[in-house]
Amino acid sequence: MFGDSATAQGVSAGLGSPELSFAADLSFGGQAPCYAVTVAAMAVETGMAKNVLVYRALNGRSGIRIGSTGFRSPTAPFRYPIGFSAYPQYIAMWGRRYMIETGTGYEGLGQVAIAQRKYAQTNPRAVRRNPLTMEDYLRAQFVVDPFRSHDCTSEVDGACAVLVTSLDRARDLQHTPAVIEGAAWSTPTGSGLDIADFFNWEDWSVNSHTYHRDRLWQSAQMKPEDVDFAEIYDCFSPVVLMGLEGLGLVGRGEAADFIAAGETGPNGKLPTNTHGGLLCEGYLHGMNTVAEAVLQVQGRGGENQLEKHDRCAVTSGALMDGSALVLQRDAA
Amino acid sequence: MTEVGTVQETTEQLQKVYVEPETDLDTRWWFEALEQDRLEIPRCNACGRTFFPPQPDCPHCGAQDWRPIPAGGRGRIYSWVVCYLPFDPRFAEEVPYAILAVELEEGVRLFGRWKGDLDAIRADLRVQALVYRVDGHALLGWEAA
Repeated sequence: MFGDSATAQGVSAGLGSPELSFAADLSFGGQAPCYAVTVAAMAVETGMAKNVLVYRALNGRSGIRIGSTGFRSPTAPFRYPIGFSAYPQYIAMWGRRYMIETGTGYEGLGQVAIAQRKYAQTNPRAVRRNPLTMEDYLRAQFVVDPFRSHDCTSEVDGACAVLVTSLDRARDLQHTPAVIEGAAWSTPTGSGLDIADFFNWEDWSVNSHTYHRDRLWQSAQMKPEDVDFAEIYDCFSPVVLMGLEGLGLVGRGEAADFIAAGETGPNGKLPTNTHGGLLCEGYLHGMNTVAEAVLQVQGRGGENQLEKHDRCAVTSGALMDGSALVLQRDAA
Repeated sequence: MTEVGTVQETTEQLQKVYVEPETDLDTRWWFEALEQDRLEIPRCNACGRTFFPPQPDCPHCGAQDWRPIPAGGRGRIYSWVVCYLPFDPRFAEEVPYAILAVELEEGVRLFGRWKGDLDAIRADLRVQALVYRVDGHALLGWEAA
């Protein structure tokens, strides 16, 4: 994917793989993991491949830091020279509009960070595990108002992969399969010329998940209330609010209160980001969001394993284009 | 063996290209107008709608038939951020500063640097475009209307 440290060809060579019958490098970032799984499933369904390893591997900390690195694009001259030059600033611009539209305050963003930090404390993979209170949150300095560091993911060196195969083959393996029940991608009208062109996007308080919501649930033949938990892409805190609302898991403008009421905690109505999210586990472009969904569905969630874990909604992407999945524990 | 630079050096190298407006055939005219203190925006001759950024096709109808029209520079704040951490070291002396997304009366949104008091910013505030210069390059800014 975009900025990946290892191409499909390179990973294949590194693993000493035999001949590949299918390979794909997607020029996408955080909008891609759910979609990459979908493309892999299509390859398996069509017979192009038997098994597809979907991975994200990057030196996000020791190598190029995507959060602060410039890239050539048609809209670059309208952003960089005025000092509007980094992802945290772009998403903060959407976050602010979300706050304006829904009346959500700084505390609403803080609720996301606090709820996810609780999960992270018992996730050995998390890089941010210190307890976080609202007082701590509000005392932290702004990185880019409305974001404090707690609202931002950490760039890390890491890798993460899921294996996509046919249900028949998966049933022969050690763990109960997580079955792909539904999937959706959207690049809605107004998506612009490049990854940072949101000039023509009508409403910066809603992202792609609002647009593919109906297709996702139709594809899964489910309704939002049918899922037991959610893993929502969260490069920055308000993206969780937009994702929950976008998929119809909560009502418009209600996400922050839902989280504040404990409903996304382990005993809530919809446990969400049970690994602490990208905010705490680090930025593998949300491939780790998909992986957490699979581990939970399979019952391999470690100390954070949920009691009810049969069905899960997963999202990838913060802005204009994005993707989503519905996974279900194999009932067979 | 190649010397491997620090992350900071890598970032500075990559951003050097972008901090000055790097224009192309699609965007040069817009900056040239701004150099002469004129704010212009493209308007489609086929569907009549304005759009931004400048590009070969109208993003509303796909026509390759448009012309620049003068814009009054009046608009309202749609969203904003206040930058405290200078992700690019060249802005280190300027933080904190605010970037506004302004909805222009002519119907497009534009980014620019806020030149007023940070505490005065609020949603829907009426603003007026201004041109400021850095190293001789004309850039878009905003002040209260």
